[in-house]
Order: sequence, then C-alpha cells, then structure tokens
Amino acid sequence: MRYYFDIQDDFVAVSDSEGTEYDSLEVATREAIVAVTSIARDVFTSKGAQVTLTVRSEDRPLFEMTVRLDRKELD
Amino acid sequence: MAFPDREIEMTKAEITGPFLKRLRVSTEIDEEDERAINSLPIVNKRMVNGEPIASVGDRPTACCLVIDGFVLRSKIVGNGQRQVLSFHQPGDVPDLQSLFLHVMDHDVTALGNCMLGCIPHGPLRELLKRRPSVAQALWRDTLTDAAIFREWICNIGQRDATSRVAHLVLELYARLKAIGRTDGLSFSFPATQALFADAAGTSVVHMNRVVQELRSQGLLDFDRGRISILDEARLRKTADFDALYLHLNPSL
Repeated sequence: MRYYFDIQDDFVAVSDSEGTEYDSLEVATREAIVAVTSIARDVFTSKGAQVTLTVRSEDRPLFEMTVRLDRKELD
Repeated sequence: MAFPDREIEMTKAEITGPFLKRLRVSTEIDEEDERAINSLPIVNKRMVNGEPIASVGDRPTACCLVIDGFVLRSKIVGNGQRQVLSFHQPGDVPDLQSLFLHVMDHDVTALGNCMLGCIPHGPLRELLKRRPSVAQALWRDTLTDAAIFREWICNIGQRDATSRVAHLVLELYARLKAIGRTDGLSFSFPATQALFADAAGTSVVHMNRVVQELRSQGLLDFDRGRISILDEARLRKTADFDALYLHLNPSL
C-alpha cells in the first residue's frame, strides 16, 4: 500500500504528494518513527521544539505522531 | 534480446576520453601511457537504470570504466536497508578494486541508463607492469577514492541531514565540473529522492523535508533529474564544504 507522510514543524510544512510503497502498516509505522525522531533532532538543534508527522493512505488520514522537546529549568 | 545494440561501436578516444582527461589533470601520464591505455581491449556495454554491474560475492574478470551516465556503489545491511556508498561519473572506474580484491564486498549498479567500457583484468594487469606511471595514476585514483569515503563518514556521522544533502550536491557538482559536465550551476543527475536518502543515511520522509527546506531557503532545486544550485556561497556554508578532499588540483 502507498503511504503519504506530511511534516509540520517549527520551520517548514511539507505535504507529501508522491508517497512511498510499504508492505504493511507496521513497516510504514517504523519508517514514520525513524523519520519523525531524526527530523526532531535537526529541528531541536535549530531551536525548534515540535515535529508532527501525519501519515495518510490514498484516501484518508491514518495516524499522527508528535515529538516534543520539553525543557524544565532546575536552577 | 532486449538490446540488439548493447555492444556499441565507438572510437577508443571517445571511450577513454573522460578517463584520460581526469588522469591528465591529476597525474603525470605521458603520450605513450595514453597510447598504452588506448590499446587496451575495451568492450562497450549499455546498461539500464538499476541493472547490476557487479554484486556481493561476484568474482569479476573485468573492470568497468564509466563512459557515459552514472553508476553507484551500495551495500544492503542486515535489515534490508540499503546504504549508498558512492556515486560515479564518466571517467571513473568504480570496481577497480576487483583487480586485486577478487571477491566483491558490495554492489555496483547502473544509476540511470549508462554506457560502460569493460576492461579485462589480464591486459590491465599487464599494462600496470609495463607502465609505472599508469600504475601510479590508478593508485592515486584509489587513494582519492578513499579520501572521498572518509569525507562521507564525516558527512553521515557528524552533519545534520540538511548539511549532508547540501554536501553531497556540492561534491557531485565539483566532480562533474572537473570533467566539463555541468551547465552553469546546474547539472543532470538521475537519482531519485529515495536514492539520495540512502546516500545521506536519512529516511525518505526526512529527505523530503530537507529538499523542501533547501528550496524554501533559495539554496538549491531538484527538478526531475536536474539539480540546480541557486546560491553557491550559502550552500557551501550550510554544507560545511571544502573541496580539498577531492584532490582535483594536483599542484596543491
């Protein structure tokens, strides 16, 4: 099945028009986790604080994953 | 057969042109060396996008010279993910190592449609014995190859995804410019975003974001097989790019 991954973070919003073929929802989910966490690293080191990845099939949204950087001052 | 014209008639000068051009710039080969290279038996072969040239475990009996188009080296890791190790352009001999390391430890694949010249190992080994300058030139080539791999380790290990992709593009641009295959600040390169992701060690999704970011910052544009650098100075800064490791200038 074809999956589409839209990204929304502090700097850019990317709508995936091409999509990528994955054998199962499980494989697509793994890809989503790898992508959202690696994007988060780049966004957070550039002073951003949140990345949301929305995964869609051809005809409907399937799920959303958000990675947020929470910082608490201790001093 | 799908390709009746798979073996193409070309003059030796056309076949070895980009290769000799590169050796001339960076090494001390003379006319006699060039004649010796031009007298090697070379069989031309057309390959289509994705076609394997040599695969892990193979024992090649010839080295392939890229005459036209592009070739990539890659390795499939345990979980089936592919890491692209290098891109090769006209004049490169991407499986030169098979001359001395007999079993392939990675895959060599056509990137887009390309034209190769297969040089049998026997005559190439003989040539290296007879012409020390050619042997030195190919040794230098192998060392430059290693320098590029070192830079790729730095790139993938230490830079963020945006810098990695910017770096990759500037490397391609610098190497293609050296053989006269750029058009101003743009060049044709048939890699998909998925392939770029495998070379930069990112996911396709992350690659998508990088492309959008580089575009929206006015640094570079990818358009169906064509890459255009929009702001070279800023792209260099983003990429942390210094062409020293390419050793394109032998006088340094």
